[in-house]
This record gives sequence, C-alpha cells and structure tokens, in this order.
Amino acid sequence: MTSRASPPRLAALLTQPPTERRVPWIALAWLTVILVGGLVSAGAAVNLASHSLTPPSLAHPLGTDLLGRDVGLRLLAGGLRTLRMAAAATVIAAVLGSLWGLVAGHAGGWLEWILVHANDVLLSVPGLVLALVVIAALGQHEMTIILAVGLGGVGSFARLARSAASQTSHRSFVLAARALGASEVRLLQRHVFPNTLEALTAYALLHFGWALVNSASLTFLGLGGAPSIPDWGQMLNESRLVFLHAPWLAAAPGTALALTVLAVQRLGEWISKP
Amino acid sequence: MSVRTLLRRILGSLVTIWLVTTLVFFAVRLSHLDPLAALLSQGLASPEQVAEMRAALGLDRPLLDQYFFFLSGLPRGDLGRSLFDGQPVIRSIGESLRFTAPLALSAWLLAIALGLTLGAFASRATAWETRRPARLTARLTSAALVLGTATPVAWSGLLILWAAVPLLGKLPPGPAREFVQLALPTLTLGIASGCSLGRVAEAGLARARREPFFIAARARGVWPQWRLEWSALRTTLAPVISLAGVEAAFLLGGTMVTETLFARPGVGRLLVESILRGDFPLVQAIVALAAAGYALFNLLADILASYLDPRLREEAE
Repeated sequence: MTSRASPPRLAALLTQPPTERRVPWIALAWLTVILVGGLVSAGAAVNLASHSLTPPSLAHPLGTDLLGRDVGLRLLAGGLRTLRMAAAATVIAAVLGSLWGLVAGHAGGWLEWILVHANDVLLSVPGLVLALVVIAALGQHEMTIILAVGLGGVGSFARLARSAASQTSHRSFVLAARALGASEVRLLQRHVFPNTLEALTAYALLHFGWALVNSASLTFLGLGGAPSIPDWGQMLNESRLVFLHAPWLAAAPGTALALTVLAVQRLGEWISKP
Repeated sequence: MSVRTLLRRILGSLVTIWLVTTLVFFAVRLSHLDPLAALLSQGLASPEQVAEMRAALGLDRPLLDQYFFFLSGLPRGDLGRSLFDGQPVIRSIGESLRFTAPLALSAWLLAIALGLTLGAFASRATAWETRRPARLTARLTSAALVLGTATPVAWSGLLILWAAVPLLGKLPPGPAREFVQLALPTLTLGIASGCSLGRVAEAGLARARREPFFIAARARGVWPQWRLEWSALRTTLAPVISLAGVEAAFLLGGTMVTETLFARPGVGRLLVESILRGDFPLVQAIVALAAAGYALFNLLADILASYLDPRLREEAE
C-alpha cells in the first residue's frame, strides 16, 4: 500500500471524509453567527433604511431590497425564524416518530403489525405532499408549516426507532429486567429508549436539514402566511420578481440556506461518530 | 421475486392507496376554506345559486355519502369536479400532466445518469489505488455532490434562470425555445435529484470496493476494467434503484417549486394553486394519484433490484 499523499489544504477542508473526527469549527461558527445575529437584529430588520435595490456596498454588505431595507439584517432575522420552524418540526417528528417506533418495536405481535403497516401508509406519501395535505386542512400559517413538516417526518423516525427498539428488546438485560418484574413501560423508559437514543439523535440532525429545506420550500410557495419578517424561503419568493435586476436578493437567503444545511449535516456526522 | 410475493406486494399497494385516499379525503374536509362561501361573500353569486352549486357538486349531502360517492367514481376514472371551474378533475390533471410528465421524466433520467457517473467518480476518492491528481478531483466531485444536495431547488433554479435569460430573450418562439424552456427546469431538478442519488451510489461503491468478492475479482485479474467496475456497481445498483423509485415520486414535490419558478402550468403548480384556493376535490385527486404513482414506482424498483442483486431475492422470499 502506498502512503497517502496529503491533498492541498483547501480541498481537505471542503472534502474531509467523515471518518476523521475533527471539531467542525466552521459549521459551529456559522450556526452561532446565525443564532446570535438573529437575536440581535430582530428589531432592526423591518426599518426602512435607504434607496431601494442598491447592490452590495460597505453600508449594506448584502444590498437592499425593493423597499430599501438592508438584506443582511433581514437575512439574520429571518434565519432565526427558519431555524425555529425547522427545529420545532424536527422535535415533533422525533417525539411522535420515536414513540410510535419504540412501542411498535418493543411490543411486537399484532400491535407491531398494525403500527408498522400504518407507518407504511404514512411513508407512501412523499413528505412534502403530506405536508401540503396538512396545510390544505389547517390553513396557511407558520404553525401549520411546523406541524406539516413535522408530520411529514414522523414515518422515517418511526421506522428507525422500531428497528433500533426491536434489536434492543431481545437483549438479555431487558429480559433480565422483565424477569425481575419491571413493567413494560419501565422497560421502555429505562432500558430500550436509552439504547436507541444515539441512533435517534444522529438521525434528528440529519432530519433537521431536510426540515430546513422543506419548510423553506413551503414558504417559498407562499403557504406560510405573510409575517412582517420573512423566513429564507419567503425571501427567495420575494426576490423572484426582481431577480434579474437584483440577484443579491436571492443570493443571500439561497446561499445561507445551503450553508446551514451543510453545517447541520457536518455537525451530525461529527456527533454520530463513535 | 416469485409470483406469490409479487401478488402480495400488489395487494398491499392497493390497500395503501385506498387508505391514503381515505385519509386525504377526510383531512382536506377539515379545511376552513370554503370557495363557494367566498363566492357568496364577494357578491359573485346569490345564495340560491350557491345552494344550487352545492347540490350539483353533492356537497349538501352527509360526509359519508360523499365519501362513498367519491369511492364509487374511482373505478370509472371519475375523481369529481373542481369547485372552482366545475371541470372534471381528471381533465385538469390530464392537461397539466402534459407539462409535468416530460419534465419529470427527463429530470429523472438526467438524475440517474448524473448520479451514477458522479457517484462512481467520487467513490474513487477512497480507493487505495487512486493516485494524487485523480484523488483530488474525486474528492472535489464528492464535495460537489454534498453541496448539490444541500442547495435548495428554489435557489439553484433561480441561478439557472438567471444564467439562461439572455439566451431565452434571443430565441424566437418555436421548437428551440420550447426545448430550452423544458431544459432549464430539467437541469434544476435533475441536478438536485442526481446529487442525492450520487451520494448513495458513492457510498455503495466505496463499500463494494472493499468487499471480498471485489478484491477476489481483482486478484483473479478480471479484465477489462469495466467488467471489474460492473461487478462492484451491480451490488450498488439495488439501493440506487430503490432510491430512484423514491426520487420519481419526490419529483412531484420538486416540480411544485420548479414549476412555480419557471411558470409551467403543471401538476405541481396545480396542487399548490388548488390548496391556496381550497379546491379540495383537486387536492385529494392529485394526492391520491401521487400515492398511486409512488406505490407503483416502489414496486417496479423492488422488482428490478431483486433481479440485479441475487442476495435480495433470498431476503424477500
């Protein structure tokens, strides 16, 4: 075997294979900027600032929009909303899906059969389409988007949790605890759930990226109502009409969305490494 | 796949489609949007006219009656009528399919071609025999795949549109222009979908290169190179194909964004618009068809995968 020549530095940063455990500083820094920046800029983003549609300059590093508002400030404020929506949706998906899958995997028998087949039905609708059905039923609002994207992710969580739980449920320490008289609820709580936690956490971070893109897609389609501070999907939608004259309007939220998804993915890889 | 397994799968798919349809039927009726009431409040129709329209559409009957009426129409291909223009739903969907089908098909083919090529190339990054310049390009390809999966379609589509507008402006109306109008959303969707396929292909191929059967084949001196590569690719194709089946249905979701972006009156756009208008017969019909398409593609993908990788055949029996 030949010794591996180390590739140039920049390429290494971009393409680090996930086998090497390194703290993802860039990803962490980016997420911190988004979070802190969002908290700081929340009030300033709606103010009218200067001329409309000015290209990026020193005063407005990311340019201004049609109403002369600073795109950078709006990006930071909107980022907080985008992250919040995706996080809430991921929590809904993780909690419901894990419960579903854990009960199915641990219970076995007819209960597992019913839960697994119900889950297959849920999985047979593409996540985004399922989200649209929820929005059709409950109306267009930020809360509905959260619920919609959350429910769209329940199926995949349930599938993962079931397979993790059914592997654990047959192990000897669970059988021993049952023989000692532990109730099924206690078995789930104390023995099965902690053993599935690692896989579920790693998947939650992966899923967070999916939730980010999907909630942004839904607000891009105009299904998120009309709040005063738009999230990144809505910013992309707003930029559509003036895109040819002011490409920076779309560049900011588009790039930010891609970077955030990358950062979250990287973080997930880092955390899930043994 | 034996005939029995196949029949069981088909039956399972039918039950699934029925359950999804039922679920959607009742879910969309939770909606507080009532287009007919909107007509009334805007003064576009008198109360009598609205009552007449409700009766004509069967909306004045109990919910369960409506449900059985809807179900009984399905075998005849009658999916109900739009609340908005009174047209049979199946006709509106058929018309918009003319825009979506070519887009989805070409994007799907592009995605598979792109995914397999880029994935195979990127997988060489971790093969020990790859030397320095090739390793670097392989790693960059791998990074590009990651970047491609992270980029939202709405943004990459805008970029492609921006790059192509000077070209579109010059083209006279005609076949060339129509081709470009199809090619742009195809590129957008195909690249996005191809990158996620590419990542799966990359991971699978990298794994296959380390497996005993591959090392043994190389040790035996299997030649030419493509026969060696094919032996690795063959085992990788199963997950790629099942993902390609999923992607085919995902494309409906993708077309919602691209069709909005490129102003194509396709099914994705129709679904979004009918949700915004509260036109639930259209919504439930499109979702039911999407579920049916998804089940069909999944089934086809599983059959193909079990044909390609004999190990899966034994698992399924």
